[in-house]
Amino acid sequence: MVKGVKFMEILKANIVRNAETTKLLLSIRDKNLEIVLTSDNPIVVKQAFNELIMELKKYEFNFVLEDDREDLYTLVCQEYINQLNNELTTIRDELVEHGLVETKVAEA
Amino acid sequence: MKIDIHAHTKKTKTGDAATRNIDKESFSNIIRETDVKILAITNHNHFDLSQYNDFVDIAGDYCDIWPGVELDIKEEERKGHLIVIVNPKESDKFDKKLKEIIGTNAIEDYSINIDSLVHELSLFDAIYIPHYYVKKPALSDEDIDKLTNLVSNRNRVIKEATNSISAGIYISHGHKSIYGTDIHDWNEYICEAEKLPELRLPVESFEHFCLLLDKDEPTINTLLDHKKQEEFVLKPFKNDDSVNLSIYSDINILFGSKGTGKSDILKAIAKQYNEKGMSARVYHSSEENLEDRFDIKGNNLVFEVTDTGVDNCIDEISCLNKLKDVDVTNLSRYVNYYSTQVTNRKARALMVNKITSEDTISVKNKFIESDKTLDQIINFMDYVTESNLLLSILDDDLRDELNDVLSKVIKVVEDEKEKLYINSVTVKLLNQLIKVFGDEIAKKTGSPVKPSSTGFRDYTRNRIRIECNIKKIISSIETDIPKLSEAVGNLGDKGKLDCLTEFIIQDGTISDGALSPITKVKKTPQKEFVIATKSVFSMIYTNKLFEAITELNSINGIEAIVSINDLVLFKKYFAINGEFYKPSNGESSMLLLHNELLEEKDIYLLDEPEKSLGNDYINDIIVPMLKLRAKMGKKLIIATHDANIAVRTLPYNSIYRMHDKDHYHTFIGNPFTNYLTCNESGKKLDWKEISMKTLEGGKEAFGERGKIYGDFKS
Repeated sequence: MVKGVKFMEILKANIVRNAETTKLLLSIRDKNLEIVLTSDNPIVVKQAFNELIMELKKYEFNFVLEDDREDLYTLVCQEYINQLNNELTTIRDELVEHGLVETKVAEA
Repeated sequence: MKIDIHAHTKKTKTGDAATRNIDKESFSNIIRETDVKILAITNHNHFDLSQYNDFVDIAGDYCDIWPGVELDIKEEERKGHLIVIVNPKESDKFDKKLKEIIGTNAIEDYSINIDSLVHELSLFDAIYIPHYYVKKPALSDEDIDKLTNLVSNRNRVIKEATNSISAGIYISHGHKSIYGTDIHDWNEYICEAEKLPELRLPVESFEHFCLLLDKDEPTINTLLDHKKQEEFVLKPFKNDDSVNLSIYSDINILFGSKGTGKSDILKAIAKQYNEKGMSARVYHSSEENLEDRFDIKGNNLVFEVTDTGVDNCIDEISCLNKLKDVDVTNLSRYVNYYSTQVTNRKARALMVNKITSEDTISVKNKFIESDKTLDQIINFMDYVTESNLLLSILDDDLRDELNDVLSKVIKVVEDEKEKLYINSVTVKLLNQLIKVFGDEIAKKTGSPVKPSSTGFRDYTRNRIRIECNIKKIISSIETDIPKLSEAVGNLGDKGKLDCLTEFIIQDGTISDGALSPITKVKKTPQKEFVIATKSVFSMIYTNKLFEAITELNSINGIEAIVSINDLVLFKKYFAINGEFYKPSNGESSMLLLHNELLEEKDIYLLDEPEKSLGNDYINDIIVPMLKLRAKMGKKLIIATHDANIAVRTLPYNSIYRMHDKDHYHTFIGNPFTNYLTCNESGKKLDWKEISMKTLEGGKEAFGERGKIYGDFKS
């Protein structure tokens, strides 16, 4: 590993469109986080954020939106992911700065 | 100073050990290692003038060496040993006389009877010291009486004992008694010399010693006057009666029956010293308490965790009371923004509306950090230019090089700081611009403003701050504070007693009833605070965080907890080898008195120090300590009913208080003159008789005890 070079994982984000609700699906390593686009539910968003923080303590990542349609939700999610990615990067740096990241134990 | 009246320097009889032989250099070296300032050379039936002179030449500056001999005495069939010591001025004459009386007789077989000896030595200034009782071979009482009657001054006959205990018993029974080393092996002399009798009055010569044997009052008073003394006129009582006293820089004993005002006199002395600006307090063994002395309840305990390197976490704890959640951006704002078509042509042309705002905090933090870094480097440069030590260590070239490098570094950091400042201001202005334009477009067109952040950044920063604060609090809570240990004293075979103070920071699990809070915060809120704080910590990244915080802030009495110090518990206790130990009343008294005497001060005022103490402890520990303090020129004024303290310390000053029908009297004297004289009337009392009556329960009781003890031959 070259010193000073950051390794960032790229995780997938998808839009799930249903008749009742449309959701942004953020796939982290072992689960999917859902952010409902068709209604406001701050508690669910905060829960998703909590999960993102816990994941961010383990490694640095950004999301890339995989969606083959071009509707309102694509625009919304693209903007949301762009902003979220910026914030994830900033916060990862701050977690490192505060010594709050989980350090991997090197395997023998 | 110590005296050895019985020292062998030569093997003269076949039964003598060869280790009695000592050369002058070894003698001088050994004697200088001891406190022996008077030594009599007393070989068996032999006096070696040449050796005596050699020893005087080499060691006479340190120790007064007296000529003497240990003679075999034969009275009818009774045999015993008698030490004769003569005035050093008569050493030559003594040598001739001994050669004359021993003649050609073999040392081994020589003996002389008492009549002949006294006759031969009648013109000598001599002291006679017969072996007595358990000191074998001893002269009988009858033979010693004969000797006493024959010599011109009966005070010059002293009975030789084996050790201090038997000498003490003989003296107590009115016999003049002394003992010496009777050294068999000079390799052990330094150790043996420790046990020799101490001379309380400074004896300057053989003549001086003889005058003391005669209890010559002017001599004794002259010697006593060598000691520093102070005159006191006290008014210790409610009436106007005054007490005139002299207090020596030595042991001053105040004795007499109960109720004769001894404690009041001590208080009055303390008061006068304090008025003179000399610190003095009366030690009352009955009023002192070991637990109070060591503040076992911790009433005066002052403790700050920061003194032990633990962070007090004042800001972090204060923060816990003010926590609020940070809202996230609703998704509907994004949906609204993108679902509303901006129809205004000019508004659509404005590119600024498409720019996303940037994070101001991280750029501002970077600028602040660069500012701090620059300050530190400048401070270091100031130190380099101002430190005299560095100036003296570094040569000119190295100093110039260092200044050069530092100047370059400062320039680079200054440039970086400037860039970061510009960046920080730019981001701030950009964000303002985006906001102003967005708001204006929204006002003009009725379309919503594009959200600038998902809210993740601020939401997370809030949680990170909480995590950092609580981590710091928990880290402080989990720090072990070392025990404080204070030496209390020695309990002999049981070991050393310490006063331990344990400090424990409540970690949410401690429920030891013996622990008390160090501050006014009660134990329940302390424990609840820590449990609730840990619960908050476990919920930082959950939606239940603020429920836990509400629970924390609703703890009864939490407002009093402002720092880690408010979570500290302590217990103070006595311990031996780290294990809890409760000293008995007697042990407490012992330690208190011991500590009182260990305290470095000029004046010791002790009121009945013997209370609750065993006689062995007084004898073995306290009396030697009192003597040592006296030797150091300290003033010890002791009101006592204990014979060991009042008599065995051989006080320079004995103050006897008595009362008759209508009046109190003060008598002053000492054991050397054996008088106690009344200040007002001039009436004289016998020191020994009064001591025996007051301290030993009377002559009869003392005699009876003496007889019983006398049956135990040591």
